[in-house]
Amino acid sequence: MQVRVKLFAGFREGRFAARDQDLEPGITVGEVIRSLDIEPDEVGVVMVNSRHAGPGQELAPGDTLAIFPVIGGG
Amino acid sequence: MADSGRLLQALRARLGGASCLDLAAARDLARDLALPPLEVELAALERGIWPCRLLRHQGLFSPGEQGILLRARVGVMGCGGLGGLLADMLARLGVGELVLVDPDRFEEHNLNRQVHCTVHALGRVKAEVARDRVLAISPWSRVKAVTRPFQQVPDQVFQDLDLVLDALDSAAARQDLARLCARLDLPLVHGAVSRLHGQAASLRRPGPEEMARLCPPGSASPSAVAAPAVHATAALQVAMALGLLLGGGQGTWEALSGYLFLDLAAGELHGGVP
Repeated sequence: MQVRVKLFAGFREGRFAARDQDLEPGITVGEVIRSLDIEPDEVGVVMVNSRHAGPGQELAPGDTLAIFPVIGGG
Repeated sequence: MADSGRLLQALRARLGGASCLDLAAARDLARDLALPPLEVELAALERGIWPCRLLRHQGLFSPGEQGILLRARVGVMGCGGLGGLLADMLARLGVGELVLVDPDRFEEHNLNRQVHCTVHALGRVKAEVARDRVLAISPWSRVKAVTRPFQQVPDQVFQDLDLVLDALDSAAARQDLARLCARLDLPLVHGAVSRLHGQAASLRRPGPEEMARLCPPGSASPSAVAAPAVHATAALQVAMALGLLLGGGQGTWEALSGYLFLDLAAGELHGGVP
């Protein structure tokens, strides 16, 4: 199934900013993150179709997955 | 509250031909009418007379909206990078009451991004410097500097606030803040910065779960951060604060809700829904 994956800030280095990925049906957010070699503890906000999503959420065809790095300073 | 007729007469007499009520006039009227200067300004606004110090808001805010800001009570948790700027902007917006919380003192490494940190402020308590700055900008505001960690402060210090702004620097502290706001039913505007990036989120009903989605506990925390990210993120937070204070379910301000991620290096701003 086609899912649009969008990466932000430092996650783009060595990867991409946005790409249409062909993924297995039922794949989860967490599995996609791991497949991109992104360290889970570097992940901040994650959104599917502009709404917060947890690592266990399954993706559907046509979804947009946005992965932001953790931002914690003040 | 002074009787309306006497107040209006005094206002007109003191104003003369002036187009706005300046600080000296507000001070004189406050003394003559035995009212706080803020009440004099509120009364003037109700009659369409703007305080000179807020004159540039005319046409952007209605007198009623400016009155809401003058009566607003906002807490700022952290008086460093984000917090210093939040306090500054809230003061310039005319927010009438501020509770500024930070137990730390300024150190040299704060000089790269904390607006109230100057070489003269090194060693001074951040919340007290922020309070002094706010009073120098908005002299009629009531400002309380709390110099203990907010976790050690009794709820009653915060329970009458309209809104709290997150200017903290750790996921753990943000969890504590989310619990506090949930307990006291306080809306919260989250903010965080890193490198040349930042994020802000408007939370009408904050809680630990919502905060954990924004700032995962136990996550890695890069320590580099530059001034532009702090300024831009603080501005987003204040815009969201305006949305919460003035929104009331209608108009422009409602759009400033949800989540925003700012990447200054790439020149991008991304949003999500609340």
